[in-house]
Amino acid sequence: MNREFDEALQYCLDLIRGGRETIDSVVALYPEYADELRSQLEIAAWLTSASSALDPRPGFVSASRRRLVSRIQQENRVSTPAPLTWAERLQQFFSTQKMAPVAFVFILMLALFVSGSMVTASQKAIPGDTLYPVKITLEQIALAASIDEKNDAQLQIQMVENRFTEMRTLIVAQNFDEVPETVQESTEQIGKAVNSIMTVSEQDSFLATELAAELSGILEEQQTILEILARSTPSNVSANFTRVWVASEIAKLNFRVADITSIVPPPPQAPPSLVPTAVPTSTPRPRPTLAPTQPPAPTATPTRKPPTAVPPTNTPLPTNTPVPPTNTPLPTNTPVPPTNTPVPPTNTPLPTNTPVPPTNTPKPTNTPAPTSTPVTVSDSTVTSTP
Amino acid sequence: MLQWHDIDDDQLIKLAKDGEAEAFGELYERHVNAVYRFLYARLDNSMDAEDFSEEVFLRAWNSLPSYHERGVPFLAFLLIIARNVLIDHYRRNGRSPQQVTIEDIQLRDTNPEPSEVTAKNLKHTEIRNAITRLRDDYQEVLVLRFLNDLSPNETAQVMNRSTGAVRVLQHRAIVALRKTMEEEYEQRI
Repeated sequence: MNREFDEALQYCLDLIRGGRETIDSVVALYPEYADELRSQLEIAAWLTSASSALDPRPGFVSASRRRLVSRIQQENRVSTPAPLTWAERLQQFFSTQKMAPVAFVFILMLALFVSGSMVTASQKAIPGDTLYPVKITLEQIALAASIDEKNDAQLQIQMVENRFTEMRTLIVAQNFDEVPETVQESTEQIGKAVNSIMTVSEQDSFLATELAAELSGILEEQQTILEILARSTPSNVSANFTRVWVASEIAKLNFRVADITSIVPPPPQAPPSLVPTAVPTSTPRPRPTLAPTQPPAPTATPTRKPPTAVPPTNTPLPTNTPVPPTNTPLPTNTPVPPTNTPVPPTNTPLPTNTPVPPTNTPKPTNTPAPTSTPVTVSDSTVTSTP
Repeated sequence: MLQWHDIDDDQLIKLAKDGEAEAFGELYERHVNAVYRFLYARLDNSMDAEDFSEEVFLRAWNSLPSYHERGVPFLAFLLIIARNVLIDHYRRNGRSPQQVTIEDIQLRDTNPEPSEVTAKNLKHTEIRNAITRLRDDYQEVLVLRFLNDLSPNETAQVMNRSTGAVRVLQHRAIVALRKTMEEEYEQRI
């Protein structure tokens, strides 16, 4: 059966349906297809003539139309009371099964984006902000997820720094209402950090020393900043800073007692207005150990230059002398070799207090008897120190 | 004054999409005969054809928001739904068509003139007896082409086949139907 035959069949059917032609008359139009065309036209015409027998009974159409319209109107009243909201449209958009994977990926990406944005934003939150609880929760989660003591201690130190940063931000923004509570949090956090470092010291003293130095450095820095901020802060608010200062000093004192302070810088002198309590910087009193160690020094290596001679690692400090060499540089004319002098720099005579004029000792190598002068000077220096 | 029957199908469809039930009622009245005919040619009694016709239009109403995406004439759209309704019906009840007696026919359809109804039902039975022995796709192409008077292209859209495939199918269906009718005629003699 080709297209031409099909078109001929269709044309003949149209003519017969029009009522003007019969099968015989239309077949005559296509003599080349006469037999085949007649055979098919008889069947097709029979079916076409029978189609009226398949029409619905009278009255069915109008009755069922009314029934259908009524039913649709009822459904409309129930199902479409209001236009869809954007959320419903979105839900409808993702309702098909084909869109399910796309919806899953989209929602996952959205959740990651929102949570990532929230985490980032919460890092800058300060007490009183909506996202501040998120920040605290994330800190606690990080702490809970920590797998060793070292990481715990580092997180605790970081949290100390966070509390100080929040306190500074509050003071600069003159949001003083939240300061007392933040001070309380800071002092508690300092205690937690110290405890964590102490735990580390039981396993790794060198690591604990490093952590203690890090925390002490932070405390030193923040103490200085708070001191400056206190000048522009109402007195009732700045009074809270004393608690922070005391907590910082107690932390450093703990490190000294635990002997993990070899690289801890000395505490600065406390401002009298902030700390009326006893200052731990007055503790070093190494006089008994200083005197005997100095005499043999010049005899051993009298020609060496002392400035390079006293790195902290070469001169293990006694436990009761936590003063690093940076604050008390050795005088260049002191002929003390580094290896033979465990003398803490603080006890060495300061140049200004040394009564011995340079003219009397033009060369340290030629004057092997400075032992008498440093001792006296040393005593006078230490005793005169407040 | 503008009446529903003055509005073309496209406008009625737009109104129906906007929720106008009466517009859909007008579409129903225009196309229900074709749907009913398609169903009744494949069913044994007219009550099923009536019920299924209403079901077809209810499904069409619910599918109306996505109608234009299909890209087929509205009647083809309705007949595609009718085809699915029939498939569902066959799945529920199996494929064995029940034999209809003259008594059954007279009891079922008694309105308005018994003699007229009986003649129609006998014709229906005759058609059913002729085509039910054919394959499903043969029955379908004959009903769509000659009882619903669809073009080969429209028939192809409803049957989801190419126009060329429909032409070939139609040719084979007519040959098969002629052969079946001749065999039945010989048996009667």
